[in-house]
Amino acid sequence: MEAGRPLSGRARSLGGPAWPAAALVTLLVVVPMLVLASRSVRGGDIVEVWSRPGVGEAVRFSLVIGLASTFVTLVAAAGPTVVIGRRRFRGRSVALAILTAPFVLPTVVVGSAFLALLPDHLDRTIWAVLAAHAFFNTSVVIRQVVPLLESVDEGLLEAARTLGAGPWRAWTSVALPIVRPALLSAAGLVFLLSATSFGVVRILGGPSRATVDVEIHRRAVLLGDLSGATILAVAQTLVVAAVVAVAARRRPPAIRLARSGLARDLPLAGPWAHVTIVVSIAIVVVPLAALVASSLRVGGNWSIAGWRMLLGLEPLGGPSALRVDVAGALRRSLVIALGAVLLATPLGVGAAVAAARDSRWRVISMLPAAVSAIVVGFGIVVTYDEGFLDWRGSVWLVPAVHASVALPFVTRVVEPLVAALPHGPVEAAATLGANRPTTWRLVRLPMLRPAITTAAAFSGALSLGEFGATAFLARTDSRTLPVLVDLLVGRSGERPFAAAMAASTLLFVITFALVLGVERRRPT
Amino acid sequence: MSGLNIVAIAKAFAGRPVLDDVSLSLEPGERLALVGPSGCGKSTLLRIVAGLESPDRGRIEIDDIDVTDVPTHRRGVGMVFQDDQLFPHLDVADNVAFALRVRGVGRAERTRRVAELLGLVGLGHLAEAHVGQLSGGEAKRVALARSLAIAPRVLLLDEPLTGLDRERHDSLMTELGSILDAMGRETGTSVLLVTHDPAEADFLAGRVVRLTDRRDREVANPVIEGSDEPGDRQP
Repeated sequence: MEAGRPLSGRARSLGGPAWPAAALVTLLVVVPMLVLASRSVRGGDIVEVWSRPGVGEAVRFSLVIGLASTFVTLVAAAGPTVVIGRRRFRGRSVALAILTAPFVLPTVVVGSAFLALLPDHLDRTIWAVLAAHAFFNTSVVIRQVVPLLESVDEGLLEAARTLGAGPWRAWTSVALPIVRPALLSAAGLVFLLSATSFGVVRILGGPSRATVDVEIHRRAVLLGDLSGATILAVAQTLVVAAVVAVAARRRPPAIRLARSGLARDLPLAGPWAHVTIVVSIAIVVVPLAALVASSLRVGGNWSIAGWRMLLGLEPLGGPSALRVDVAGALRRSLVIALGAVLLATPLGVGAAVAAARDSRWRVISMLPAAVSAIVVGFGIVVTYDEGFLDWRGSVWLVPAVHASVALPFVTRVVEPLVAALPHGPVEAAATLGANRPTTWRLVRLPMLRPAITTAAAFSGALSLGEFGATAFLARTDSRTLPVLVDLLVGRSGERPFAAAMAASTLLFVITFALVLGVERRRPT
Repeated sequence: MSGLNIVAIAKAFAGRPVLDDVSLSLEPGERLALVGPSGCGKSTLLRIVAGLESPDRGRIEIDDIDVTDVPTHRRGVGMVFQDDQLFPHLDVADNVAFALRVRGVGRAERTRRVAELLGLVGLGHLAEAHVGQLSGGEAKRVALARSLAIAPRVLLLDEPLTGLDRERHDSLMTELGSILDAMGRETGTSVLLVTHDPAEADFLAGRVVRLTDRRDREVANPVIEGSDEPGDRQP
């Protein structure tokens, strides 16, 4: 079947289907960034801000935690990545699904899980943050490296051995160079995710540790230092954009492998491979099991009070000024996630169709990925704050922001499939009398359905867990579940903690179910 | 005797015997072609000689030394794979230089040897080409040059001309014959060739052995069809 031909000539330069996505990104990312940039220049504090208390420490901590987390993650990911990428064993696809699922877990869930797991003296230490980052980001490395690693033909390693290379030499001189681009890209991504970590550091880092993202939030919300927050936000975005641009320019040309998807041809796993996988799965499962157990304990006893508070069957208690509506936050999170899915999916598909025709359109939909969610939220708060542009209380704002955060993901999942759509069935439909919309409805969309389903599920998971932007946008009466978890784990008392653990457990169960559901349906 | 001795090799996959009591001997410099229907175990035998598969029974001797338990990289065999298996992250010259580099040969000597080997296969002008840009015939020549870099005691060719159109097949077969002739005179390397094409076997090898399918017979002993003395048959 023929595939990959441009879908249409005339629309190539216009990018029609990408316009709604472009409008959303412009409104919620580009304009706020421009406003932040102009204010940072006007502020005149560009040099002075770096000497304000906490700013230098935040920059240093971001670098240190970024580098250390990358190192620990690569070490932790090496074993399972090699075993899954190069060995065949029963339950391999299940192991892969479990080990890659933490990637979509909300950051507050990961923070809560480690809070539940670690002994008190390790809570709110740099070790706790490192462990949580490694837990979270190991799945990033596995996701990025395994597909390339499993496509390295075993015959190449055999060829190296017939040429005199021992098993280790064959590995380091053949397999490793082939997967190096994916490995470097994964390491870069882990560094950026860790250096700009917000949810995990808020929950596990304690009051004295802040990444630049946490410092932006602290300055904007707690200290009222808008000029400082603005300059930090702009500087951080510029640095991240520069790193991404340099990484993109330095990326070597993709290596053409003779075949791909060779998992079935891989050698059988030996006992050590099985041990590696069992230990890796345990590392994923144990913190989550500790989280579930914590949601069922109050004051050292087994209790479902946390769950009853979450479902609105029991009040949280405490002083009336501090009371929060846990059940309301759950309802709100679900509604917002639904709204984000309904917005991000069609917009992302439109952007993917335009990007498949002309790769320049990809930049628009990928833009939100280059700006930290914290900066997006802050930018929106600063930009849309007066007159008819005061959207901060609008019910559509948070779902729209979540949709913009999910947009790069939808485009990235759907675009390859759009580009690979075979033309035969489309031309056959045309000869049978189907016009363009009918062809889309009856031929193209059904062929794209697996990717669209995956993208929708991941959008929902991303929205449910979104914390960075929402931390800025949610008001007292419009908190989402992750915002509430952050609030509750910061409070003293057993009951708020149990409610936070129950909320985190529910977020974990929903996001895991969404991801495992679509991963199981994905053809291997 | 020196050269290659394959002694009573047996191999089964998932309980299904593929090779049963197969014995063959090649003298130094001899070229032997294994022919037979697909699935009869020709390539498996080649992989056992290379050390890429372990036999269930029997042994492999090279120059009178039992190498059955010697790992592939220490056996001193060269192999041209059916699908070439050129390293996609290296250019043509680096592919050919791979074995020299693994053995710690210095850069100057490597460069000299690579130029010599690429000259031998007529690809000196493609030294810096990416292997993804090569035609099927060029890729096979690079694979051959790469396997010759260490002057192996035994050269294994697994369907070396498969996948080429007739014209390229015939011209490369003639060229391969000349290269193997030259190599045989200089190094005394024994060549074990697997092919499904009887004409190719006749042209390239001094002796042709048919391996019968274990599924058709009780025992897959080879049936020797030709027994010319090595060197009698000129390609």
